[in-house]
Amino acid sequence: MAKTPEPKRTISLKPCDGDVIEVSPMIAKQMQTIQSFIEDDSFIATTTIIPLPNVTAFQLSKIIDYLNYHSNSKAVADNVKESTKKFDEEFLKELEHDKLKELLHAANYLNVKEVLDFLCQAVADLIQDKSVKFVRKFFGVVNDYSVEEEEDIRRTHAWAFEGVEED
Amino acid sequence: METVDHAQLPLSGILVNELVIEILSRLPVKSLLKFRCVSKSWKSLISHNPQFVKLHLHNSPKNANLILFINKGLDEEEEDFDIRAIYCSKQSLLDNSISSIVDAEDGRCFEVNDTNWSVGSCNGLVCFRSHFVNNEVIESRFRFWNPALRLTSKKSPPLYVNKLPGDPFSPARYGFGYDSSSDTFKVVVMILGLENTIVKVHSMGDSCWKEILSFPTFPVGELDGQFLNGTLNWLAVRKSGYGYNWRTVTVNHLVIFSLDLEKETYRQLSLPAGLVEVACVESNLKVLSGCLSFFFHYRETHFVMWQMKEFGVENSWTPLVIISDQHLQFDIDHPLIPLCTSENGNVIVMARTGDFGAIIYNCRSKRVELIETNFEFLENGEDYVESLVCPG
Repeated sequence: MAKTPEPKRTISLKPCDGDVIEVSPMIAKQMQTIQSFIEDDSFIATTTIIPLPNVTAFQLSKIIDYLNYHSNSKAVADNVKESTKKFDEEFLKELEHDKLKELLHAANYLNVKEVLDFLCQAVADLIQDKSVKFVRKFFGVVNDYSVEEEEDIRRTHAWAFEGVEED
Repeated sequence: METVDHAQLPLSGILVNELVIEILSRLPVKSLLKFRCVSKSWKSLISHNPQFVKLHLHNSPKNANLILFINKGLDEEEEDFDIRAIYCSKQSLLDNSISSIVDAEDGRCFEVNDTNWSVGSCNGLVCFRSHFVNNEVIESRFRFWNPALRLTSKKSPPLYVNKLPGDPFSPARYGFGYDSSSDTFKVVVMILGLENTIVKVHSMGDSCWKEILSFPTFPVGELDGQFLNGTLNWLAVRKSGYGYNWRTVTVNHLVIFSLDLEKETYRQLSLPAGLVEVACVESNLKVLSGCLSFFFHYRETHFVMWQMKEFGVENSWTPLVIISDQHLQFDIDHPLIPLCTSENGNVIVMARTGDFGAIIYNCRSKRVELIETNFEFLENGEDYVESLVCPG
């Protein structure tokens, strides 16, 4: 039997501010937005480069890093869990608040459930003990209460306002 | 669990609404109550949006928390037992650091007393039953408590059960669960009679009790139904008839009576095959980390526990623990009640109902550690999930 040439094994993604990044089909599969590209009849893996106008090279490589690490460490052994926890902490350490929010948008655009879940939980952990003022600023929400109305809500659940961290 | 239509939830901010909602749905209830202050639209999302309540419950950590029932002994002024329900993290039990929680004098604590018993915990609500006996009639009323919101409902309409002549014990068995098909919390009572057993249901918020089933009677164990996968489960005896002497019943006579809250039908599930003969007065069911577990005391010297790894699949029964009293270095003259297991199932915490405190048992290393409490009995514990569900 004649040997057929090996088919191209990677998917080419082009972020808005950098060179093409090649990812394995297994990683691409976890990005729903990319997956629907691939499933399109006109998609030819060997030549098509998928443009990602809403995703920077930094964001794309962060997301790929996360998926790569977590797809290789599915085991439940305690030591693996420990190193996964360490990886996740390091992953978040590099992200300022604004970068974290932008990365969330990128993960949302690419529709990567695993990264989205992780980042949403990270933001929840970040804000859970913060003040109302901090959270308004973080999410860009305008306070539409009058002073009395706000005071009223604080009074009804005064205990919920105990243990608030400094901003 | 229904999927949530994000488009209908109004919010604005730097992050798109659907992301903000996803983030908020992962917050503890205490933080959400605080963030009602952020803006009017946040308040209406957190307090008045049933879809958000469901999404939050869906994302709320499972198998992370417990409601513990702690008996602080006889209250001399009230001439009643001072029993408290307290919610704590499973980790604090596994780490043996619950003493600080037991003494908490805040809203995480619910004062229970001798005539006010827990029926079960489900989707963030704990159901309590209070009763009093008037001649031969037992009157019960039920209340629902959301510990995270620190809210308790009003009492349910009364349920009247006639005692059976010559029988000092109550003929009623209770259970509390959730029917997702109709989105209702249900209290179930089985009333054992001489000829028939009648099953009545009260849906939380309703003003009535409804009879849903009647079948030839068979004896059912003393304890409250265990809620799992839309069903309530009790230990029962295969044989029909009333007035069985439980002390002569052995494990081989037992079966699990499983009531489907949606279909309002029941079926029987077998216990593990090949069990030795055991007086069943000290055997029971308990949901641990989402698995139905069956435990009993063998010849008063061993504690044995099995788990049904896949609910409803009878050949998925797996032995989990056998411990001897020699190994524990105390007599198991009173039942041990399992409270929780670690995530990998290797560590089990069990309440010592005959003595103060509890034990932590590591199945791998066989190590036994005592949890000391300040002269308090740990009566029982139930899996608990934080939620925004409004009681009543």
